[in-house]
Amino acid sequence: MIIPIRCFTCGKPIGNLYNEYKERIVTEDPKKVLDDLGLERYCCRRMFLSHVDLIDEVLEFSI
Amino acid sequence: MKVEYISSDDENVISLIVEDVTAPFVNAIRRIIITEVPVYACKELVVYENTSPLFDESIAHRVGLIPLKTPLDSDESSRMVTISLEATGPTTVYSADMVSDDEEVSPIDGGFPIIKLGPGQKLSFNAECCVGFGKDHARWQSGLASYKNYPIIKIDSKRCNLCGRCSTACPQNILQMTDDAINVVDVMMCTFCKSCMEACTSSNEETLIKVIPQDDKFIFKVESFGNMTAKDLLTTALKMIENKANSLNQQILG
Ligand SMILES: [Zn+2]
Repeated sequence: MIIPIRCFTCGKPIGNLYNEYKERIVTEDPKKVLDDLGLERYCCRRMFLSHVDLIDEVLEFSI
Repeated sequence: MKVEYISSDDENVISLIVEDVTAPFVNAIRRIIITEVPVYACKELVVYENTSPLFDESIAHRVGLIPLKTPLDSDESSRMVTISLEATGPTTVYSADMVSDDEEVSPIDGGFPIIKLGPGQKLSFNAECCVGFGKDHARWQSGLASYKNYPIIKIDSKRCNLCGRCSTACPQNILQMTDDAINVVDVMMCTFCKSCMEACTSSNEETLIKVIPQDDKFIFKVESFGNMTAKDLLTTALKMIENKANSLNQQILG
């Protein structure tokens, strides 16, 4: 849906890094970007690698 | 007990080499850091208006997990802090848009996306933040700590035939081969995978390289999530252990 605030497994805050990640992977290698962002453990890395941003799809609905 | 700092340019991380202690002692510090350090986090969200695509609960969950800067003298009796937000779409609402009534308690970074709002959608809430502990919920977890035994790599250099298999087998690349010996480059990077020992056995009758964890020496790493610096996190955790020990002592003495 929208990038989680923290890593599900270890609890490290990661939500604030997502915009930079998304901008940079267009031109750079995701491995290098993840290293630069300080995501060392694979639990935090998968948060970005496996994320599908679906928030725009539901944006036309309200509750 | 001997302690040696490994310098780091990140104030949210400290690494120590601790000598002459037992694993249970280091583990006690680790567990206190994860579960018993008092930090601020949003406990209750009072939603006044929410026409966004997400439910109130989902938003409350996200706001709760945003780490807040915490003054060092905070404890359970510290006052409740209210953080409020008001936003109208189309926009992305970030943690920077939240206004705290206490400057010392505010999101550690303004870049956490809370929600995206479509045209005309509105969100307004008051977040009531109080001090809590990591053992109760992940939002109060202020950091991580980990340790491993200090590795000792012993090479029988007299009988080593310099086949180089251990050097290529090492996934951390810490065994470097020169013309007359195998050198260990950065022993602290060793993960005890023992690939080098397996590779050595396959080329020799005996294992000439040995990786041994040193029982009373540990590499201890503290990583703060930003509520306070890693050094403050460690000292606060040690204070919490001290308080617990003191309270036990007082009860025994009556
Ligand atoms: Zn993680």
